[in-house]
Amino acid sequence: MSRRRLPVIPEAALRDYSSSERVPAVWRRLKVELGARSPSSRRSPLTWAWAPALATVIFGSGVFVGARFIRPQALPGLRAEPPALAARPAGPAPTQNTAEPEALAPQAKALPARGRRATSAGASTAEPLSFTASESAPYVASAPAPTPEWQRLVEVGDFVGARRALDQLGGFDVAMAHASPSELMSLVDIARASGERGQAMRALRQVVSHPEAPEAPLAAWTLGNLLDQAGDGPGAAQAFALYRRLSPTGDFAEDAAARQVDVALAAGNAELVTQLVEDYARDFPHGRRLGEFRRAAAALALRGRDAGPKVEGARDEPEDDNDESQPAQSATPAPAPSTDTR
Amino acid sequence: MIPGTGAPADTRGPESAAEDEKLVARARQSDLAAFEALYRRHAGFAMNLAVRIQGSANDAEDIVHDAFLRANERLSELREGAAFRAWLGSIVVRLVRTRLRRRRFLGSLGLSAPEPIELDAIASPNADPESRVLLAQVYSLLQTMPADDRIAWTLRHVDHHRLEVVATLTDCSLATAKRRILRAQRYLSERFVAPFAEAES
Repeated sequence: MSRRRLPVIPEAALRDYSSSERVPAVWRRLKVELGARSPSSRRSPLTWAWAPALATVIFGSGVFVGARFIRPQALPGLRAEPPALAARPAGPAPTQNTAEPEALAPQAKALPARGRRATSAGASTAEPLSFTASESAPYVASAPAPTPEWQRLVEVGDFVGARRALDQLGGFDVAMAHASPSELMSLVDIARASGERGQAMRALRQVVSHPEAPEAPLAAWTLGNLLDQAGDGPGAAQAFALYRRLSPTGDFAEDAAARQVDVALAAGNAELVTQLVEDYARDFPHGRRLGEFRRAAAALALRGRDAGPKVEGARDEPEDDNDESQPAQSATPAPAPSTDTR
Repeated sequence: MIPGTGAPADTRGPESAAEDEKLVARARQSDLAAFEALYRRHAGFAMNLAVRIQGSANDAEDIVHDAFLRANERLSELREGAAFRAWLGSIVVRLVRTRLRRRRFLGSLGLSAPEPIELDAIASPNADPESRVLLAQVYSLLQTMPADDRIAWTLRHVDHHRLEVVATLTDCSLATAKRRILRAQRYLSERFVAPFAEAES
């Protein structure tokens, strides 16, 4: 080895994502989000100047209605907190609603766009007190907060903040329970940023349980990498096999097939290696590592004949494949991996 | 897919910029089809940019997604529609820089392991072994550099942008862009070790 002037990186050596399957996949996500936004969301921030004024008017209306039509003595539910009421006599005190549910009906009708929670609040007086009150308070009803805080923070790259926001909402698992595949991928980012590999893998598994989701192939690939890094070769091989099933002509299809062979080689499973190398040769006749795999498979078969089932140092990887590969795998014993080949 | 969508920002002709200008004007009027056309023209470029700067494809989709979302929200702030591509590129660069810095910060606190370089995400499947070795070594060195220097050098020497374009994309002056690139170049040259076979020849 010697030090030398840095060579030029040729353009042809770089992968081009122009025709990648990822491009239409991202558009599908974008289209949904853009379709859900009103045209006014593209306007200058100044165009939202009317929003505080509107909020003030709505709040003022609430204050007026509260001061004018609601008498404190008519609110038996407030006996427990008289000082609080006295402190803000004109405010839209939450318990007003329980005493006079009919007075709330116009407000609930005036805010139909609040969705299911507003509807349920207006529909039933049997709802818990706090829920009914907070949902029908005018300033809460007008707050535009459809995106959870943690998602907003992920969007700006604040993973620490996102983790904190998640914890306040009940934690990672609670968010995971009703997250869409796209949200799950955001959760994966949060988990990986905070070093929670286990959480990331659980979220990824949940994504791949929706094979129709556009995120599923990428989730399978990422899961394979994480399992590989965790030393779970058979699990990684299964994830890579899943990637190939979900995206047979995907960006990483060849790499996924190669990683399956790597795992089988590391496990010293000659029969499986032979089969996987055949698959690799069939699907990628000009595969980058085909020659290497054929030599390794032949050597493994030869050693298997000479020395029985025990194989050491099965992986014969060239020095150029220094991705996040698995240095410890060649030292693992040789259990028969439950690899799903295709 | 329109050919050449992954080309650097400064290699497209004036017709292409004029077409962008028309599409931006229509997209400002909430024309989703026009915005989709803009997306299809430039998504490859944005994806290439994200992957090449990061050295991995892990979050590239999210970055491209977020970049176009922001672009859509802020189209009114774009003064010249013809400059859409460079403007989009600067959004992508900002998003990637935020992620790189955050990861580095978390790493310094021991809260996060460094993101591994994904050689297969960077290198073309047809790249020769020498190029792969070169990319592997360069990217492993880039990982140890400050984000701004790394980004500027990558834009100049990996994505092959002109200096002015690098300055635009990184939102800094030409002098600062040059300084960053030079600093990174010096750092890499001092540490780069030629592959064994090449050194012998």
